[in-house]
Amino acid sequence: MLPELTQLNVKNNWQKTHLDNFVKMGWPSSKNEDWKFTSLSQMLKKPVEIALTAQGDDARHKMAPSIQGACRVVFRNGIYDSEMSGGNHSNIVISNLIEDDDAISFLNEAPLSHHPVFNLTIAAMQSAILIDIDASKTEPISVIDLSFVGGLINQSSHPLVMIRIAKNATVRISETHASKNGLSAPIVILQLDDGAVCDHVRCQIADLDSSQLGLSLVNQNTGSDYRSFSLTSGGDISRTEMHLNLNGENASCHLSSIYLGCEDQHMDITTRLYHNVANCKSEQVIRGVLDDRARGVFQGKIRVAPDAQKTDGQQMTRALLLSRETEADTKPELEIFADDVVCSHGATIGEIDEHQLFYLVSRGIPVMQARSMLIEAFLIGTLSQIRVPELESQVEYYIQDWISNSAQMSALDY
Amino acid sequence: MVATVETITAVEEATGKYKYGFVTDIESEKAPKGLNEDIVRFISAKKNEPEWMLNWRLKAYRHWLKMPTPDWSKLAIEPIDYNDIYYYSAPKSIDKLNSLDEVDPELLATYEKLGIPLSEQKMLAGVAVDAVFDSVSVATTFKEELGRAGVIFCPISEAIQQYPELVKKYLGSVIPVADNYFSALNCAVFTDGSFVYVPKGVRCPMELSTYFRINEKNTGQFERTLIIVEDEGYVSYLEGCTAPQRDENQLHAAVVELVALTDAEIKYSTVQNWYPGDETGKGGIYNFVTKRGACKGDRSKISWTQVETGSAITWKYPSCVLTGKDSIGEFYSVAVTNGAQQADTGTKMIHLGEGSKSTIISKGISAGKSQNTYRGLVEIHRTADTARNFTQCDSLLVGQTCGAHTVPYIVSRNPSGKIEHEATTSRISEEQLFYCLQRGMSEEDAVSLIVNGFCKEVMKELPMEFAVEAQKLIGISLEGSVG
Repeated sequence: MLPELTQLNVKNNWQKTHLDNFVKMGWPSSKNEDWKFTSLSQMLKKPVEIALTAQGDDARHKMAPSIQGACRVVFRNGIYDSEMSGGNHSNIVISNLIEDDDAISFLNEAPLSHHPVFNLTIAAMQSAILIDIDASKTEPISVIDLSFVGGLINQSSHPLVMIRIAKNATVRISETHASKNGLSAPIVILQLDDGAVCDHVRCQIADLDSSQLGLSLVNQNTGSDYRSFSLTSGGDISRTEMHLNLNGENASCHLSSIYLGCEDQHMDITTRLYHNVANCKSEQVIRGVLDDRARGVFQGKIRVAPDAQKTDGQQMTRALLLSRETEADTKPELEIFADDVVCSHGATIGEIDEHQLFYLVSRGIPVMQARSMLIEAFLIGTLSQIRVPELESQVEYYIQDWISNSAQMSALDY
Repeated sequence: MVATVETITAVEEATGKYKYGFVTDIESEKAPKGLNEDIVRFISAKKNEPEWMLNWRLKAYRHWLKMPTPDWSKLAIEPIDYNDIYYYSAPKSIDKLNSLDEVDPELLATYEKLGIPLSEQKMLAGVAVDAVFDSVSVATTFKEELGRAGVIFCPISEAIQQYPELVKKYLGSVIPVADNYFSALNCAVFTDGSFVYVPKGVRCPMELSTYFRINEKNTGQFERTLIIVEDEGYVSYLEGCTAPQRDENQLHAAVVELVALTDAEIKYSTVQNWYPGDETGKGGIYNFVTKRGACKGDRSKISWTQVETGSAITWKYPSCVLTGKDSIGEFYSVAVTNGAQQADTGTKMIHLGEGSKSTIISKGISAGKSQNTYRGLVEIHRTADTARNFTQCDSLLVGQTCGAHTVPYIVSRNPSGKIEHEATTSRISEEQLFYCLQRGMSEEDAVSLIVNGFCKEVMKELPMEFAVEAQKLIGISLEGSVG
């Protein structure tokens, strides 16, 4: 069901435009090519209204990876909570996004006016936060801890965060989505100015009762370096969508993504990577593990614009199926309009290699442990991309925990 | 029509460039322009078809009316006016031909120009040709030899008369009447095509071949091919296309259905060289083809090989439905686009049977201002234990103004299935080009050589008769793309 949009009190014309867009187009059906593999029909059956107060806490959020001593930005139920937020950082300035004309015009120019989550969240947001990171101050590395917690039954939250990273600044971001219930549709926007460096770890570990429709937009200028790691394991339906624009030469990005699905979860990882100028490099590594009746979807498009010569775009996606009732759908897409490029994608889908399992078991390792070792080995390579050691170990711990839960459940089968 | 004058000038201007651009002047018998139930009835009556066939056509036509034009492909298509097309045109006096001597000499001369091995050449080439000239089959050779083996190879209109039980059983069994927009159109108005039946245990003694020609102005060409191979049978079928120069866009919507029963094997090879249009794409053929094979029996095998160099627009996805246990589907494709050509081509491999295997090798070459898209689906269903797929799509870009796209869909519902997919995009390496030039080759020859090397994996799958022609074609297609 749609959130009660008629009762929605939009504050300004800008939000009104997006509300009109959303109402006009509605939620996408599976006839929409971008949503071909992800049907929202189950999610829309649940009655939802837009959350208006910062309620709800979540114990799960305490399990989430975080960085000590970071500047904290906390959203509860989609609303910025100034009491829970805090931490001193001379480099970081937090303000209200609505009051910043540049930020608004940036959003107006973003080619996402057809996107349901983009329109709905802008229309329905109760808090929009702008974070500016300046490198001219004392601290060499700015650290931000972005948490989205709460989530009440039948409520939907629509937070909006924009982070602008100034020239040559270096920032580490830990982003956590740990809501308990309801629908969560956050938008996170990153702008990397010339030479900016950003390490971003995103963990979506919400409860299985919640629905997650996350949208990220990343724009990179000349010489910037963006490295992201994303872990998705929560939500009965979950879509993690990222649009990344390489707008300045010599910019590079590395995206690694892990999704872990069990029970009746539906996990969707969608990336849109736009090489708009020459001499940029992008690399994507996606690993998914699916158990029980879970369904995993990966859609990744790399588009190389006509003038984007010397582009290097690589993508590799692999899915591991642990149960007979899982399904993995993959659509890696290349759209190339320039000739001097090296682009490739690869995709594999399969189960645990019998020979590898046999090798371990024949050396005296119990079968369940051997199975866990192989799943871990399948996933762990992507973690080396996390350049923040304390986050790496926390993510690793979380993954091991997920695997051992999965092993306990399937031990019954053996 | 302004087209008349334009055609003449266009032909005069471009004949030098398009080797097969000529129009044969033979009187045709035509149905009036346009598409309605009466035209469907007219075609059916002309073909002397039984009632069930007419009803089948009408059912398809009524479905077609309700269907929207598909718009999901990466093709920019000018809207087609389906009422501005002749749906039936047949060369006159075709009834009761006893030998080739009775065939219109002008027609034979056309085939001569195309190098089709009819008359004496047929012996040398050893190919039985069922030549389709503007929708009606006029000459069928090697009938006796095939007859001795028990193989039926005849125009489908004849099969409807003579083998109605076979046609009734299999026509539309692989591609249902309402499968898609263009196949429904074909079901309603198809005029002729080939019918092949290989009985149990028979290896067809020769490669069967049909050359399709588009000749009459504004004639949509709607071919229908049905190939049935019974248990342990084998057939290799060759399809080649060349078309004369033309100004207006011509519509071509063919349907090919293959049925392979237990242990049967079908090898279907295509060289497609329809007129691609001028530099701006004007006048080229619109090629919307639905090809699908059903591996119904255990251990059956269907192999599609295609070399696509022509047409202004190519919309073509030869597919395999792998129902039989341990059945095999293969797809080998080379698609070359130059000038303003657009190709959206690929395959579908639907794995239903246990142990079914499929291989997809696709090579796309785009040059000039063309757009070349690979679009494919690999689907492993719950029932397809230990199914296996390997896909490789490579794209080569020649020049800075073309585009190469890859859109694979991969769906796995069975963990014991294994799917591997690889795709790469690159351009002709400067080292290779330099090496060839340094040894005195012209740039065009060098590009042709390198591209042929790039396609080698697919070319080696072509039957001998096609391999040489196809290599030349790729060279010709890329003319004017470098330097």
